[in-house]
Amino acid sequence: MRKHPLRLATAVAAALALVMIGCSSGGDPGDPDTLKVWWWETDDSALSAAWKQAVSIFEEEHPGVTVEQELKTYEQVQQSGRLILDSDDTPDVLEYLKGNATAGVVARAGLLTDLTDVAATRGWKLDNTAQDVGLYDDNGLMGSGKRYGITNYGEYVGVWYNQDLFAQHGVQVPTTLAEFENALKAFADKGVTPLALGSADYPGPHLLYSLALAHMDERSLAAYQRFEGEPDWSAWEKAAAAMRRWVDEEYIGADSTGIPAQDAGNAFIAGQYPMFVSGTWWSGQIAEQPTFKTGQFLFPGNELHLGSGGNLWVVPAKAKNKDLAYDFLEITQRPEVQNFLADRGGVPVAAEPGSASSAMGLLVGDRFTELLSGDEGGLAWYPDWPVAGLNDVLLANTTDLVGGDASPQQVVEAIKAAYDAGKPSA
Amino acid sequence: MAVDSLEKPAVTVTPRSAPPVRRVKRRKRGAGGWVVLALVAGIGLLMLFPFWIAIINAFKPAPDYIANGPVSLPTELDFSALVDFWVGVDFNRKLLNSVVISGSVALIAVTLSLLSAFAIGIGRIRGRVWILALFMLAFTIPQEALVYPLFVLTRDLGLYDTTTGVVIILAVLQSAFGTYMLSSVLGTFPPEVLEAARLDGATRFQVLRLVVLPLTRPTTAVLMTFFFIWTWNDFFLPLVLLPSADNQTVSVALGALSGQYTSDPTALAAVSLAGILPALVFFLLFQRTLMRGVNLGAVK
Amino acid sequence: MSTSNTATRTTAPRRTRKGTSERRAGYWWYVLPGAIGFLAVVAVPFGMNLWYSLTSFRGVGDPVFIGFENYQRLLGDPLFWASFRHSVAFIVAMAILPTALGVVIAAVLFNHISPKFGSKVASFLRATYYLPQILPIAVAGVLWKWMYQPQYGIINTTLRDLGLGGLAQNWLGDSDLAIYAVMNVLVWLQIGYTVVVFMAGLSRVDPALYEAAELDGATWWQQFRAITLNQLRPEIAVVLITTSVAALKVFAPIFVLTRGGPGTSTIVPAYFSFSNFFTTTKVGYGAAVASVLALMISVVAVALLRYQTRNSEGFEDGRR
Repeated sequence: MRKHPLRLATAVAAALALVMIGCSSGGDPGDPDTLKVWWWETDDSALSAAWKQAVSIFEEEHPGVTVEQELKTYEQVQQSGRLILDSDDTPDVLEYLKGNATAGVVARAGLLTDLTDVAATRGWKLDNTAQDVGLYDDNGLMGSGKRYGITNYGEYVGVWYNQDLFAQHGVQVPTTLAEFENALKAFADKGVTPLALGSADYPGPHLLYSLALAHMDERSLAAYQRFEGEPDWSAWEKAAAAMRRWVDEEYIGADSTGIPAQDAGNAFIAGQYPMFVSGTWWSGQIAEQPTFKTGQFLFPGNELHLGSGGNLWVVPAKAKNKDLAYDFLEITQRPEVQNFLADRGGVPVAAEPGSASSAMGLLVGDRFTELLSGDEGGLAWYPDWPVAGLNDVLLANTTDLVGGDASPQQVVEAIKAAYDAGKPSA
Repeated sequence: MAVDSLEKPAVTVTPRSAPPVRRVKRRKRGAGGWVVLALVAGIGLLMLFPFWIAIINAFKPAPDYIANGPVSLPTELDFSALVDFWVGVDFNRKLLNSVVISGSVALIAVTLSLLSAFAIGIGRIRGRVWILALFMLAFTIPQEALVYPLFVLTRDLGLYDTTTGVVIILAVLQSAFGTYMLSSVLGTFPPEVLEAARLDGATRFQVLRLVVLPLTRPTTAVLMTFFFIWTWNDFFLPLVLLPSADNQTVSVALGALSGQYTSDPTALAAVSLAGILPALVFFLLFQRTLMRGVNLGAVK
Repeated sequence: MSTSNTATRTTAPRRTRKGTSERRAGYWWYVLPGAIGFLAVVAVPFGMNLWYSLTSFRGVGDPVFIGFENYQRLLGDPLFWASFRHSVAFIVAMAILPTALGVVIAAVLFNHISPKFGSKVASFLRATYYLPQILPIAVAGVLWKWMYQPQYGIINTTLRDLGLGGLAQNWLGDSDLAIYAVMNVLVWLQIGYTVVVFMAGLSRVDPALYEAAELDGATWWQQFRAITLNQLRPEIAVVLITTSVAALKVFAPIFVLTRGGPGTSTIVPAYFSFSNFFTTTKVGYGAAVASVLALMISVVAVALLRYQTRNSEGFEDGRR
């Protein structure tokens, strides 16, 4: 009893507690010489590399100002981002989730700085559709209204494919939905599951939306995303029916409901599947794998593709050093930073054409520019954007659909119900 | 010392799990005995299996993992994932935060529990049953019901994103259990001892400090261990109330990394291992107290 | 509470005679810090939560009073009812099964392993069972997700290697199976707690009871029923209370394993409330769910406590 380690631990803890209480009371409220920047992109990503470069440029141009960069996590910002923005501990500039349920809610509540005038005075070039993700109206709806954020990058969902497996099984790159289904069938007939799909995560809803977009045009898209008229739910019914059929035909493994996105991507990269429908955020990892020749085509036959400008840089309304924050935002838009991003396989919004040195960078960068130009269709955003909480509903219903627990009709009805319930009444 | 002679009555309140000494000579094992041993040992292995999975993957190079999956033994030892994580999130800082927060919570919560329990168990203040019942609410209310208001309150008091705020909140929440436990222990406190102290002219505080505190040390030690480990593993309140990386705790750092958009399997294994290591250290450090402690929940 | 009641009964009369009410009043100062803390951290926030539950509130901006609308919607929300149905399953997984298994394992370790193979072996095994209890839940979730992974997860690969590929399942991805898969993890988590409590309880049992039973030629099973179960009744009651409350509040294991999915097959009230607070930003509605849950837990806790009091008193009477 005498020499119990607990007593030692207690003493140590007590000493540390005293030290800590001393520390925490000496905070630094709004030091004019520091710029607090938060993002959640991990260190190995192209974005992080580009932004670190922006930080070093900023430090060079602002001698005497220190940049306090903190790495957050996506989940943390998603869950407590609103609370942070509503507190006095906001950073000066942070990466924030685009969309009605996230940036829209906080913009409407007045927690973000209106950047409309700043952008105009400083002459920021934000006139492309990728930058629509930074606009929110008085109801917090994305796509029009005042500018509350800017994005540095874009993303879109396409079909990654394994060229070696395509050659081995004599399959051509499809250009229409019918050809796509034939290609899927060709693999399935040989006992190869053609699609890597992790429907425990976002890839499930993404595939469903891609299939729905095959039956949608600009008008029905605007209806779905911006509440301009009644959405075309028959497109969703066709999509759900197709997805169900794909499971029955074994184009999709029925066990995909237990597979997270990361596993599906890893399986594709390991060469286990010929195709993987997912976004450009995979380009880095896919470019690195050495074992087979990869490629990417857009979802065959579709004019509209999942994709948008990326997540936003926002300046909290309670930020203390807004001018420094604007300077930083300006630096992230410079060609040198944007080219650097392209070079690392990212999808920049304002890089100079052909600036990427890697094949992957050129492929995704140029294709994104094409999509932005909007001549042949364009970006259709993401399925969960219109209504807060729709993501959970889509996910739950896609797993039910793939798992055979709900019929395509039931799935679409459930999605429609959640969509209607969350629609702004105004 | 007087304290030693007085320790006995307190010990009887805290049933011991001393190894059973009732049969000194071992009984015959027999074939059946071995079968039963194999069975319980098998269950033990099943319990440990997830730990094994974490260890073999923590040192596996990422391509090896992608090619062979998580079950195979690593072809070579690669510490880079563990080191990357440790350095990348400044894990030393998180460890320090967690130790400080857990240590302070344990200390404060035990102090609060002891003070309240002194009034309830020994002072027998009026309405003590109701006070105790109210305190137990802190134990039964789900944290989801408290988190939004707690955010608003800490923000308005300037305690948001400070260790102090989280320490106060967790200490109060945990002291509910401590008060309940200690009140029942102090309720059976030998009255002769208190009388003797009073006859010597001791004040209430002296009674608490010089008589009650030493006599309940085994129980308070156990409570402190409990509080330390509970706080260490607490995830939800620190996640919401401590947004800054500088204030983050180990379990929040670990939990956040299992988020779907930043998951890389071998890195996750390394992270898991980083989470297992301190738990193992506590386990070895506190094992005896803990084993006595879990029993405390069953004090009659 | 029952504990202090029993204690009150044995010692109270002696002291109340001596202590004046003035003398007792001085003790109020000692309960003050705890009471202030309780007010600030539990009572006021819970009151605020009740207020939020009567409003429409996005988490930022001002709450708008809407009366009992949230509660009305709650009653018609199938998800809400589903989440409470799942709570029953988790009471089985966190309270009933671990208690049942824990008693048996503790008895085997105590009566069988310890005397035949030494108490060190028994203590070691007990420690291995307890280890999951101190593991951060986030880590446990990551580990189990690997094991359940349908393609390369250890469970399915082992089954396939044994030629039992037909038994391989999509553990967390099949809406019929997922809840059992999660329950399995919870049993794994909880069993150490019950084993340790029950072993400690057994060490207070008079060995003479077992010796007498053995002389009478009682089988192990007879001893287990007549002595072990009977003697452990107080421990069993306490374990059932604490674990049932924990089961009703369960959040982290669901959060890290399934997030309530696939579909909504593993959603629980705490997660349902959490997702309303943080994902769909319907804070008022989430507050209503949390309030109902708090009420529910309090009812269950009080009911179990009363049962425990009655049960242990009856038990004591029977013994004498």
